[in-house]
Amino acid sequence: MLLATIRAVKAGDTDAFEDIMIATERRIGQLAWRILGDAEEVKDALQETFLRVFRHLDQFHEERQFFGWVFRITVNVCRDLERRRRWRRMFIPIDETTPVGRRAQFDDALSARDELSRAINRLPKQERLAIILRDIEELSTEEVAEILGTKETSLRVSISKARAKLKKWMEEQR
Amino acid sequence: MNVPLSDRDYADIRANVMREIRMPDAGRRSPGIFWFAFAALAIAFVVLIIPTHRQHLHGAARSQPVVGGLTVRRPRVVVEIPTTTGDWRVAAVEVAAVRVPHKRHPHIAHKPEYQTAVRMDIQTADPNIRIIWIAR
Repeated sequence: MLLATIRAVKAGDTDAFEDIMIATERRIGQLAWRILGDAEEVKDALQETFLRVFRHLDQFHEERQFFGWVFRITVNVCRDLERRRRWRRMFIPIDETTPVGRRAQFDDALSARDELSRAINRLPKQERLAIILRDIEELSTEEVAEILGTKETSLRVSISKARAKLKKWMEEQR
Repeated sequence: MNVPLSDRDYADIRANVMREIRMPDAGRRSPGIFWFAFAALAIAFVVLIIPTHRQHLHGAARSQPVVGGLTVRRPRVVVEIPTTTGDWRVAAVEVAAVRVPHKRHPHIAHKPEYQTAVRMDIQTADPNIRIIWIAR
């Protein structure tokens, strides 16, 4: 079904791209949310991701997994947004840089079920992305390595370290 | 940890994307526009800035008059001498610094050298004959 829609868009049916967005937006939104943790930035990330997907759809090969390809674009878009956020913080007075505080308050209000999510947010960036893509989005190690632009062996090490940290932190919570 | 986006938010995002991609050539505009603007700037620089700069450096000498086959460097001094000697009359004396070509390589560009030159126009009794004397 999705593949047929992709072929239609590639053939020039622009309207069919809306079906691709409907089929993928929740998973992309979820991934962007896990990386960015800010609703407004997730909206920007979704929009930019879909535009990039549309622009580069002719480079997608059908033998690859579509979500793997889209997630790679999503991760790149989120990295760009994080970079922009860092620049913004350099020029905005400290009292206006509230997303961290809002995020902390929001995190505090979460149920115990979300302790794991908070722990994931404490991980270094590369390990956090690896865990999100491998364990939450359930992509293969090969796909995650391709998305993050690392070797599979080093990715396995990152994932292993991240899991150990998460286990330790979760045990400390109990 | 679910995304705090509503169905309305997703619909708005889809509408924005569809509006963007329906615009003519919208899908591929960013890199194209960037490179077009870059190329236009580069061409403008080559066409406008470089000749202006070169003219600033060398143009003054080019646009100046020539005395005895040598380019005159401004400012030159023109002295009007109204006196006459018999049938001859000094029409004008011009003192100027002239650009001298390199002795051994006259056609090759070198750092310009200047010498003071004097041009004297002597008008004879015959209005059709004027003697021009150049000394440097």
